[in-house]
Amino acid sequence: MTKRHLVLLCCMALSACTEEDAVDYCRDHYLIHAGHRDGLGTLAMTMADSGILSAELTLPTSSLIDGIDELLEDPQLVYTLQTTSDCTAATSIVRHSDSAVVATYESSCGADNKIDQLDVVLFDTLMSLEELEVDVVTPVTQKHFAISRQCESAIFRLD
Amino acid sequence: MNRPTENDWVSSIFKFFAAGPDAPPIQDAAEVDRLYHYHRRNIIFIMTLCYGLGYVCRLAFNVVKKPIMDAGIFTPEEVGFIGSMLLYGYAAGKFSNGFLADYTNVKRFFAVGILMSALLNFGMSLSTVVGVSAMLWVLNGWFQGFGAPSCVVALASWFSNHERGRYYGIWSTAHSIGEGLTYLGIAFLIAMPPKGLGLPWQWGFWTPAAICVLAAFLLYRYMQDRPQTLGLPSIAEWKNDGQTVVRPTSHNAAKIWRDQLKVLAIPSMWVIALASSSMYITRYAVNSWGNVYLQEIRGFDLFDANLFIFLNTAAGILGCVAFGYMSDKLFDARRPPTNLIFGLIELIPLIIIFYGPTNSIVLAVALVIYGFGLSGLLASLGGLFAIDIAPKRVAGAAMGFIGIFSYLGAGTQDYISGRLIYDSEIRVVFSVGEYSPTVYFYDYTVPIVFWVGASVVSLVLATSLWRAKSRD
Repeated sequence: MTKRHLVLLCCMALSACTEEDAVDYCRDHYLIHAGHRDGLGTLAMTMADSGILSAELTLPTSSLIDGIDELLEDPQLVYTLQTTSDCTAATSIVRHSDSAVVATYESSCGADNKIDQLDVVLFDTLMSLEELEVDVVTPVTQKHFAISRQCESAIFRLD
Repeated sequence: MNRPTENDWVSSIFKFFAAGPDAPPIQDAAEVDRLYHYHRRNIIFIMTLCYGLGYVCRLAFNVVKKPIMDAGIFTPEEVGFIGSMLLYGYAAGKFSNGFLADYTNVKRFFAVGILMSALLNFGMSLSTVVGVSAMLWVLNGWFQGFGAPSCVVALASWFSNHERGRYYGIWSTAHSIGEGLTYLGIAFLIAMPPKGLGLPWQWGFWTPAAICVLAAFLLYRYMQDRPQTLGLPSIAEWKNDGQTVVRPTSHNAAKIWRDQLKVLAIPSMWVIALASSSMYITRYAVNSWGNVYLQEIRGFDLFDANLFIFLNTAAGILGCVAFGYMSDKLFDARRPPTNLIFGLIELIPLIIIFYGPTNSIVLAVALVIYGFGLSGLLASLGGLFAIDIAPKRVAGAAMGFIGIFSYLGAGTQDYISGRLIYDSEIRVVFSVGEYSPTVYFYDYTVPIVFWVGASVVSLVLATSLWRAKSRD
């Protein structure tokens, strides 16, 4: 390879690196999230040391469908738990405000019962739900992210 | 034409790596001086630069651990298993490569080792099968082990007794070059904007591979075999410092081997080996899982988490120098009191890092002090103290014995840590049509007890040798 070839190769590599990419909805979500955040639903889940899982789902009224109360009152249509031993049946309360419907849930699994997996099936229940901002708190850490129907992975960078 | 036989291939490989024959001596003193100055400058610069560049191919996996776990490619247990393979490979390499380097043309030995490491890193970017990745990584550990003995042989061949300490010090900075490039450079590629470029985790292997190919080229171009292969006198003759370098021969090898085995009969060596092994558990736990912990539990982003880990490794350079100086000057070359002081300098910040205030400044200061203390203790347990206690004629064997123990500890740590972290895993899985985005949560409470406990054990063992005497 001559020096000229080497220089050409480096230039091509550099131009490829500097080429401006189109905004990717999932990778560059932080660029657009602030603009549509107000219209999104939120899900806050807390797993306590005592083995109690509590969750609060808030959906803006603009995204609601007929029969939403019946759907949200059934915790199994929102989430299910995989644990070492059984938890008590989850309780649910659904209430309405001017701008949103708020559903709260609680499952009691016991302090010695390990939660292995939490399956959130809300997107299958509400087919019109496009994106959800989620906050999960465990006894040792907390994670805040968004789940979008268009993205394969959770979106951690929101700002 | 005859087809080459298997023996021909083996013989060609041995010939390629074998130390070259002596060239006819150059008679012109001025030309000898010129060539010595030229090659020594090249060798120390290239050796330091390339050992540092090669380090990136060893450490980059640590940076991409979390992206790999987040993508659901490997569980923490699998990541720990793969990580441990590199350390086991390196431990095996410590035994075999040190022996081999004495007989090889180190220029080729080092260059090929680093080139193979580059290829194995590239292979890692393609593998999502745990068995394949583990195999690639154990080989990487072994080839990574070509570097240090090659550099030590080059230092012995090109620099005299009275100047080797200085040049050894220069070469030692290579670790920081490598750690800086990895924990800052590779982290910059993978971290999300604006702190990084947000490239996929595969770049964490492609970039080190490219860097190591460049390093292999530089080594092949500028490194040199022994001075005598260029027609130069030995360094002892050129510097007139009267050293005698004994290269192993078939005549004295059996006697050296018998002497080396005597190291195993010294009880203090076993205690130091266990103390060093425990210290390596903490060292590699922080270096390989620390950035994951800081992201998972403390909520730092990938770039900042790796920056914190870099602080601890950078402070290590000062720790090594300070330990030697303090033990020589303040305690008349007695290592145990300095071991105790540095052990406490390491242990107290370690407790603050994991159990102290969650303030970033406190964390950064604690990591710097921890890195300082740990490196001092490592310099002692892995080197100075061991050499003091071992008979001097088998100092190399003592270092090798402790090195193997240390890396076995480090490797086992990687797997156990991964397993303990995995045991605490909670998955939050969203069912979203064809996708199942999953977010993982871990609890580091038990692994932290393991890491801090190992440091306590190391300190107790090292201090138990308070009355150990040096041997001549």
